[in-house]
Amino acid sequence: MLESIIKIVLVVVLLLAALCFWLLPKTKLAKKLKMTVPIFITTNIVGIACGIFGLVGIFIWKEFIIEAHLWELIIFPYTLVWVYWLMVIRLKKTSIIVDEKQEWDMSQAAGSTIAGTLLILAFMFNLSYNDVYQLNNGMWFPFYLFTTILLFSVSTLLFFKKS
Amino acid sequence: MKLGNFIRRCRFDMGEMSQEQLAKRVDVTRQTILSVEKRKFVPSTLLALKIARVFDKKVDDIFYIIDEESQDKTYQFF
Repeated sequence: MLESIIKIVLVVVLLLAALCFWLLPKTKLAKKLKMTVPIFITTNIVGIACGIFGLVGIFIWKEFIIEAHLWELIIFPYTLVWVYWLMVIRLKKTSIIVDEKQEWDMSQAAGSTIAGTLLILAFMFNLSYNDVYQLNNGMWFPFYLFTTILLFSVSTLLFFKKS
Repeated sequence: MKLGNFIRRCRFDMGEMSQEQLAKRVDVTRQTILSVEKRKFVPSTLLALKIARVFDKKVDDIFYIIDEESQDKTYQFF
């Protein structure tokens, strides 16, 4: 039952997001669609929240998070924020919607995320190999996804705020 | 080597132009101007040219290279 409700919610919100993506830039609201510093910060805060919820969910609900499609639900707000970014890209007809410092912050964050994710996954592999803690039944993917989102969002925000 | 600049001084000369105003003129965020001013971020050639154009100066008049040995010009300026 819960699984069906979550699936319906996901499909409905996804359809609404797709509709907004196609329709909003054609309406008067298009003028209000722009990339601002608060949106940049909000994107990363949403990323941090989704990453934390996802990782906590993986350890609390274990396989249930996949069976009930909960991990997709948790990642949804972050997806929606990126839909907004895509709308702005579509409207501006350029992929450069953040300024060069923000781009630099994101590049540095990407590098830090690769290093951080590798270390965390190596640690989890070690735990798994030594039978201390197991991530079973495809749990590796959501774990990797939420770890990446969390690290990328945290480091982007840190590099951005460092100025 | 670092990239020094006289942006603060130029803003002052332009009637205390705020970082926000400059940022709007060159189409970047205030944080970017702040980082450039504080030498934490090296701007692209395009941004350097845009900033110079706002102050009606040459890029060389606003940005300079700080060699390891040489003293920072900013301290001489103020």
